[in-house]
Amino acid sequence: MTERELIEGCLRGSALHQRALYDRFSGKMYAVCIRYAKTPSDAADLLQEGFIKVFGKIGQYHYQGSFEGWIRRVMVNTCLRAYQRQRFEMEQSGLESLPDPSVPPDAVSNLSEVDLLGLIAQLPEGYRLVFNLVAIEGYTHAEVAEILGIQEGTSRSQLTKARRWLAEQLLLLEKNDHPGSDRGF
Amino acid sequence: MEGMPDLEALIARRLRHTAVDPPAQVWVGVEAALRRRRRKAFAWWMAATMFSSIGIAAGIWFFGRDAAGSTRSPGQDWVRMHVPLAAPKPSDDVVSGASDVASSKRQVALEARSAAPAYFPEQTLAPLKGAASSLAEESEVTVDPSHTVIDEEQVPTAQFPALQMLPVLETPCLVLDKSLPAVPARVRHKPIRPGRNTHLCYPFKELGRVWMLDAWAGPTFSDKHLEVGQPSGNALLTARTNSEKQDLGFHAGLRATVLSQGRFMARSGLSYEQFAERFVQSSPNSVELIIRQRTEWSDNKWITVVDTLGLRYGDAYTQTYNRFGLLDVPLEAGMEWRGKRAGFSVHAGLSANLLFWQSGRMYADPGTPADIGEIEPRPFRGRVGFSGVAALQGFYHLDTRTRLFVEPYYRHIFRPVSDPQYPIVQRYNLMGLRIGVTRAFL
Repeated sequence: MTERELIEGCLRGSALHQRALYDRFSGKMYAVCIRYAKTPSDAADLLQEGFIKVFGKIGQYHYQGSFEGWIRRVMVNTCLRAYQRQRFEMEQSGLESLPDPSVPPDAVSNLSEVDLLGLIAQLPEGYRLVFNLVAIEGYTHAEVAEILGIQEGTSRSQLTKARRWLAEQLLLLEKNDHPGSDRGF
Repeated sequence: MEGMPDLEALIARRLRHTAVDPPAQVWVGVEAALRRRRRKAFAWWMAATMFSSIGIAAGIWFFGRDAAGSTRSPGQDWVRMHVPLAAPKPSDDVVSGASDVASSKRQVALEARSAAPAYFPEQTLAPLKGAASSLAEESEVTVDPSHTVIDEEQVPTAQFPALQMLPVLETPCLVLDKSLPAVPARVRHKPIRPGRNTHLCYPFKELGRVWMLDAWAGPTFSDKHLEVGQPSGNALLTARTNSEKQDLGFHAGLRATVLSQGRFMARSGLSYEQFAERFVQSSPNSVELIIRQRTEWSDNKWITVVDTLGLRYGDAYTQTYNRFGLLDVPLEAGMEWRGKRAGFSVHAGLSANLLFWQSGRMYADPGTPADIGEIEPRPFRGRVGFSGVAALQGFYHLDTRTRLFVEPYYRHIFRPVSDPQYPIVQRYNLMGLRIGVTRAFL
């Protein structure tokens, strides 16, 4: 079934096409939701809410740009709205005063995708949102500042903190995997 | 620090296309929500259907209450005369508010029943107006002709001695308006914010083909042309022309439309159109008696007094409402243009018509009225044939799938609606306004 057939079927309200669309995109979108949610159960709720919106607003997709990108944007907006409702606060942990640790190149590639998702899920909420939006979704700091209603400088600072936090965690994991090695940090 | 952007890029590359199987209950929840939405849509359509049905029923009731057979008898015609008087006195009825809210003021209206307005020449009305002025002075009210009367409450006339000056009025006919309607506050429409909610129409153009369903109701007015078909029809034509007057009818219907390439449409459906006429019968031998009945307290008991106010000879006093029900199956083509929320379309085509119901009276021959169904040869054929229809529709999107529309239309019935043997050839054109709602199915 082509993407256009899927969309037109969903516009007609065909349950078969809706299921097919869900099957095609739910895995990727669940991964998106996991990155933004606090817990797997929150991620499932966000995925459900996001797909309900996708089916409700599918008529607003004008066949311009990638359909997957459009769905991803709906999901990200759903996740952001959920967290805007909770009025998240940017964490102040003082990490910005620490020097940047250097990470060995294979520290990331040694981890599975699920482990990486788990690592990101452990990020403090403010860091996680900014990291997801800037590093993975490709938003600029100005856009993130507008979306989250924060200063652009705050967005930069949150990303820096997220980066350091991740680097530290990666180093820690690396050290645990290779207890005997001494990499000089 | 240099390694940091690489770390982000590396993580992004790994995670951007990652897929994780979601729990099975997510789809269960999505499916349940979609089912609820379908049920909601069904309920919406049920409500629309009910609305249309109520509209049709109300139309039949409203326009059919004086239908054929219910002839007005002498004295049932009446005229209501309102003399608007407004009281500025600070009473408990006075409501003062913001500048866009009208003050509530007292008004006094006088209602007079009579056979026809013509029975109240100026010299008769003058005392009434004088009485109203006196009444105004007594009740400390001032004249305010800018208001109309909508809410009435009967008032004991004993409170107003000036009523004694109303020689031809029935005593219960004095009505006092307790309050006037407030001017509604200005409604502010929420503006469409730039950059948001701009896709209020479906992308009709990209979708190729879109189905839409319309439901509507509205007023109809008929335009009748009578011509002599046979030489014997001259007198009948004169009698009918003088006795039949067009009246307001109504129509309602459902219609499906398929829109192709975002602009070109074909539509068909079924509608019911009821047009109406009044048959006013004049009889040179008739005498119309105008009476007034009132109740008086006399000798410690209530007595009913009947006064004769006037006589009228040989004038119209019998009126019958004629109704014609037309079923219409159109096949039309048209084009549509859309903006953000609004748009318009033009369409025209042919329709097959069936005059399946008619009632009322008309002259079978000059001086002899008869029920329409009993007249031979028939003045109206059942199968009236084809008509040409043209309409212009303006619509406004409430949401992406729902439109409200207003559609003036014109219908020309090609062939005469009368039987070929009937001595008069009668042709009809119908025009009206469709007010309805459209739902798009994509």
